[in-house]
Amino acid sequence: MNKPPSDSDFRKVLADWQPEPPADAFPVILARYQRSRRRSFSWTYVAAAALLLSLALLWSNWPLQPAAEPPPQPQFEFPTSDLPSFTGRVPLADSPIDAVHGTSFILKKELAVPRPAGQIMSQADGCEPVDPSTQPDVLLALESRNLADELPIEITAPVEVQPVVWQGLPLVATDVYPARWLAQLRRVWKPAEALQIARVRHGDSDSERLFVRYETSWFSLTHETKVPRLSSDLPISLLNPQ
Amino acid sequence: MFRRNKVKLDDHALVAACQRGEEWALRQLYEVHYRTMYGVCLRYCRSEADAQDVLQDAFVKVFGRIGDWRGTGSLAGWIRRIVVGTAIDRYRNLRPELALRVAEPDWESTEEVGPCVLPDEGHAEVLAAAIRSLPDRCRLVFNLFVIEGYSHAEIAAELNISEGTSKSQLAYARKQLQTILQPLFF
Repeated sequence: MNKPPSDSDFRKVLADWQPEPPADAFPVILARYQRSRRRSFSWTYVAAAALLLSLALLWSNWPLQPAAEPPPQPQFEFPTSDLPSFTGRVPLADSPIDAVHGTSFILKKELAVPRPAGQIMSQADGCEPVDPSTQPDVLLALESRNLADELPIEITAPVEVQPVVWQGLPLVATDVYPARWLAQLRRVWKPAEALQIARVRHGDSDSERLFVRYETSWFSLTHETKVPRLSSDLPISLLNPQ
Repeated sequence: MFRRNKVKLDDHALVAACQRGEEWALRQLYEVHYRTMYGVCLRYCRSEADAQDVLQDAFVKVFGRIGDWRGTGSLAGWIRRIVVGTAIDRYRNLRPELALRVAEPDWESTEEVGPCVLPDEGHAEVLAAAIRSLPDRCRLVFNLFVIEGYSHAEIAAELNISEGTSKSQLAYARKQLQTILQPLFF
């Protein structure tokens, strides 16, 4: 009886055994390899094209800039139509109002727009008639209001007006504002002319609104702003109205 | 046979040409190694048809990855690992066989045995056929352990089995081969 083949026998005989395959497989292998290579190249080209496109897009915006900060805008929207409107709250600190005195307020010193000579105020809707000699008009258009719906109206004494710079933007400078608004702001007023203000109380409510006169219309300057709170909360130096 | 170079290139030059996609180089690479690799496939696969499929798959991989050969080891060994891996992949996910608990055959304690009649080249076909007849996992373990020289730990990791399973599969393979080859060697 012979000894069975050991592991080393198997290894010796089979490790480098070289049988002949029944057919030449190379053409098939080559074809499969070339197909896979073409597929790989196709994807490579697609990836490269995508990369180039991304780089081109990136380059077109290079250097990357953060989104451009919008130009400083007034706290309220300036009128964009012939009938200007204002619906937002006016923060006193940022407003052209320099001081609040009772039902009157004083524009900041930058607001000094002399009134053209000979301009005469006309009666506004629901407002007391004004005397052009003592109540010069004010160019501060905010919201067109029919004050007849919000009586009683108390017209305050005029206060000093000065040139307006609204949040660093001279109101006469840009075309952000409608032509009508600009035209009025460009008017040169005489110094120390008064600002006409209407104080509107809603029935029994203590909510009051300030209105300023613009030509023949009244405009709300503060929306649902309680005047006493404004005047008491803000550390401002009051100027005596003229 | 070789379309361009009649001279057999060294491995590095051949690989460089293969990397450039030179068909003659690919052909030469195949011609140099396909017989040995087919022998490997025949040991790992359960049929000649499977072996031919594995050979094709493996050489497609070899051509595609030829740039991965760094020249630190033999090119033949690198190709062989790809072939073995391809063959293992073919059977790796087969349904696990029942764990076989077969006692290690005592190869050395058989009574009154004569020397092994070493099988010659002609016997290689017989031995390979005997190996092919083994169950899949059993066949893989036997090949990896006996021919490739893997440890049981390496086999366990490669086939995702335990070392104990590897050992029992090897024992079972030896037992089966002894039975199969008994008429030839005993």
